[in-house]
Amino acid sequence: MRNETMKSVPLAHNRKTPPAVVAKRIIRYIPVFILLVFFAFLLLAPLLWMCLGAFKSDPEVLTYPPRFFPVGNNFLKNWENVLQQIDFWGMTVNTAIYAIGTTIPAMFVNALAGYAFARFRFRGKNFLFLLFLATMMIPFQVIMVPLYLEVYYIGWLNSFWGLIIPKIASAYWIFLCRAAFEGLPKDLEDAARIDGMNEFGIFTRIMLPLITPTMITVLLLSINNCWNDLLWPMIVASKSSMRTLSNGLAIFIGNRTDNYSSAFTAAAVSMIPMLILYLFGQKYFVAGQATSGIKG
Amino acid sequence: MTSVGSRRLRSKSFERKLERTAYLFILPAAILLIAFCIVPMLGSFWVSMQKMGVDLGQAEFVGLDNYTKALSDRRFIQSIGITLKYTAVEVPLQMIIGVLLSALLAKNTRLNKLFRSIYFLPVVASAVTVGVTWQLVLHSNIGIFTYWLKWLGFADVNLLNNTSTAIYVVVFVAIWKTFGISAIILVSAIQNIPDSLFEASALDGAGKVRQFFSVTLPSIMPSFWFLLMTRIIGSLQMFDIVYTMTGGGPSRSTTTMVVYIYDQAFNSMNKTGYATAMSEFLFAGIMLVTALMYYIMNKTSD
Amino acid sequence: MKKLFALMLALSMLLTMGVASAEAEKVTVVFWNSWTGGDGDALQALVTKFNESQDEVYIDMTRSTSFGDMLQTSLPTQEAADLILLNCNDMNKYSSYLLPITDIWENTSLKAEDFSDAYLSMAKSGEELYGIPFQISTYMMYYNKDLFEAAGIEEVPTTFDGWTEAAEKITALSTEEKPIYGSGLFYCYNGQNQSVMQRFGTGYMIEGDEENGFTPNLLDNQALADALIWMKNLYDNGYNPKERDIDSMMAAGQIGLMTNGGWLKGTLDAAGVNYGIAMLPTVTGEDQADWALGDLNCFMMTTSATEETKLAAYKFIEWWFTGSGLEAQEVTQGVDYSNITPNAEWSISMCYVNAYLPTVNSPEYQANETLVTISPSDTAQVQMFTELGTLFWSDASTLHGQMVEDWVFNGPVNPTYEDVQDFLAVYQDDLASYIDEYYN
Repeated sequence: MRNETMKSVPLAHNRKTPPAVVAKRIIRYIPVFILLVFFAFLLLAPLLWMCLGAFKSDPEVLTYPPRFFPVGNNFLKNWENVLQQIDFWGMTVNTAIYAIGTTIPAMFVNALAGYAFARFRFRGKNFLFLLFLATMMIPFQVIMVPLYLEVYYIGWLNSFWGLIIPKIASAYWIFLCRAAFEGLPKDLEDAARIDGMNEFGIFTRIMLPLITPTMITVLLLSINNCWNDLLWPMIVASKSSMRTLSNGLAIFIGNRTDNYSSAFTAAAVSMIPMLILYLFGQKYFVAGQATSGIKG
Repeated sequence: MTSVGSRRLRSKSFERKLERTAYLFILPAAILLIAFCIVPMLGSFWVSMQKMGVDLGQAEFVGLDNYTKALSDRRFIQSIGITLKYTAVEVPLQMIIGVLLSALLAKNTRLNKLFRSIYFLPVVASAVTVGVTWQLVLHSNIGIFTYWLKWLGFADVNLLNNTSTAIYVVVFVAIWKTFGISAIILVSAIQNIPDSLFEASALDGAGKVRQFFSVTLPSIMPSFWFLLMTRIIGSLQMFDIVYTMTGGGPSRSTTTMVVYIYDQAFNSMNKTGYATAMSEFLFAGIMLVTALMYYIMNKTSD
Repeated sequence: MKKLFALMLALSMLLTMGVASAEAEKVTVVFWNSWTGGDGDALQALVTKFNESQDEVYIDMTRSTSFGDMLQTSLPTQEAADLILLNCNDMNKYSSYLLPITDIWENTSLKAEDFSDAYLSMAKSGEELYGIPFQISTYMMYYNKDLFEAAGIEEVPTTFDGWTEAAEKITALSTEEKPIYGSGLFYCYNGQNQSVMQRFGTGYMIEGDEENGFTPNLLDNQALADALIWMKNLYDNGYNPKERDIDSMMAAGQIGLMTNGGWLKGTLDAAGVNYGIAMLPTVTGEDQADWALGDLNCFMMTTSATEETKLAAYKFIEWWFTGSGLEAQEVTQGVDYSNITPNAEWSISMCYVNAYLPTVNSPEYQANETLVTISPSDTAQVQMFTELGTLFWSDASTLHGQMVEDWVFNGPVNPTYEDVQDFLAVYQDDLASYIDEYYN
């Protein structure tokens, strides 16, 4: 395994490798490849079964012997049924506002705090960090009622303010950014300080670009969390015009699901935007980038 | 130049300026966290000392009664055991699989990108979708996985309706659902490492194995710690997949602490206070583990 | 990044403004319920029909699996829905926030005497009325007609011995290619289980009343022991699968007979199963109509409602019982369905017995053979687990679920009466602790 890890680290000065070495590498890669394919199958099979359910009719989903592939194509009929029951596009817009409105400020606020914890020395650092972490340790259902009351007294019920602002700061992202900043080499910022750059500039222009992959991760996971969030939008913005997609889907899939094909159709379609976002985000997963920033 | 600079950097007034900057950087997050997490948490401490239901006006102060009651509640104690068992299995497995696969997939080849996308798919699906899908796929009769296993020669496969296997199914599905997150975090940590570090160590004549130990591993250690700690916190709070997939059964074998707390809060009258008191125990437990790990983490990183 | 943020804010403001103006002339009644799934679709269609049928009231319906969470948070701040569908057993839990609606009789054409008294009284507390019956969910026996025929069973079982007998015969049809189980009891889901077990004559889990005191009723209860032994044997003999999700198996044609509520009908219709509905058995096969075990969901109003929204909601409730429904089915088998009320349509299409007498006496309702055969007697017992209005109801019903699961998975094979007593001792203690908690 260690050898594989080695290979995964790109070396800028790699010269042409002799063909014999290449062949050896390919042979060594085969077991790894089999392992990866096995995991991919385990991951994909249930989801694929679910997505294929979007093309099935109801009797085809619940049948014995179970079927993996659909016989005909029932997708349009299922999709029509979904659109008939929920305002799919309106809900998508609401979800997008919630997800983007939360994620963009969250990236900034949490990265800033994570950076301070990772790269500065100050009094009360350990206490503050543990205090922040403590906010992750209690189940949401427990603080749900007090938090709701707070939003109510501020007057933010049934508004995007109430939906978004309490969700911006998150110890999880702070911790993640802190870890990313800690992974950077020591004394990076000293050179910039000597050049007379101010601390905020060091953060935005030098340090933040260095952890682009992590920031993309925060972006993807945070949007994903909002996308799939059921409880918070439902209680704080119960007005039907503010309904988010996850709650629209919960109408189909829940305690009493009797229409699996529609449920699977809705679930499959709602995964598509997240998937596109992920593929797009992967572009920014470039190894060891932006190192030039510290050379100047 | 460096020696002049570092002398200036070590001056006392400069240290104080940096300290002020740090507080300023933390301020926005601190305000939000205090307002929307810590204040409600303090509110929950008040709730935990009341006997109350939905009506906040009818709360009756009972002091620590709810806490002492929890300690003699055999179902609560049982749920602690189940939660610990779940965490003890889930976290190491998740970490091993996560590190292994992210190491294999960190390089940006086309094939790796494809695999990474596939591994991220379950993260995208909602917990309810995942719960319902797995429940149907593993259904003892009409489940397609069960059918395939039968075809492979396994007789009487009924993983979800068996008190000794159901918890492991939950572990499996939870890892299945979340290890894409672990992988993406570790992959991005590996990719955060500046090339210059590898170049420098290569110039020093370091081999690949030595590079792994001297460059890769120390650089991703903070992310590794992050994952370990957040996975432990998350596992101790396991709820959604259990709730949608097994509902805590069969015969309570998958009733984790949060599932039990939730049941108590919603399926009976006047037990909001009691349920909250139980979650304060959970809070204390997690806090203890986290503080301990934080201490170890700081020790090893110095 | 700044641009994006500004755009988002602009968009959000636009959205909040746009909604306020819509439906401005109508009185909007916010209506929450937990009817997700197919029956919720039907309810939504009826609500839409109401909204289009007049221009005074707009019903803004939200159905969600988070219904309970929504109520719990919003009721104390008076931000909850005006109108909700609530199970009568939850009345105690939310009692501080329910609005008395006794004046519905003065403000609408509805009359108290048109409702079956047994059900209407369930929605009362003292003299005040808090709910109008929306749906009576009784548990029924579903059976697969094709499997009955293949096994050569002509009569639908009316006794529990008959159930076992039929289960044995149908299970014998099972092949390597397609496993079949005669009986489809759930090991989880307390309602489904209690609907069967209480018909053994077990009585409530806790007997008595506030005046004379309560006593747990699990130990020394012959009927309960019989029920548990009967159930365990079905599992141990392999006639009943150990599975949570029996519904899907019934839909796949693998179950002979089972118990569930009216909501299963939609699943089975969609799956194209040839099924029948009958009353659940009793020990002797007689007096099947004396049990209507299930629960009652009512239209209820919360203290979040204003006088204006209350009166508007009354209009909707009145329409529910006297307006005209979807006219989806017109003349079928000589019965004219075109003037059917929403209430009757709901009842007939989902197979729910009805509490509104004009509906019950209507030709459309009477023409539905299934509804007539499952109609309980006037004095039938409706309540399960414990007496209605007792504070420990939720705890006892939750405990019932745990008890049965524990018994199915950990109980001894071929159990005797003594085994049952040993097993139940712990649960008897639990019930005693509930009584202690709420009434001492």
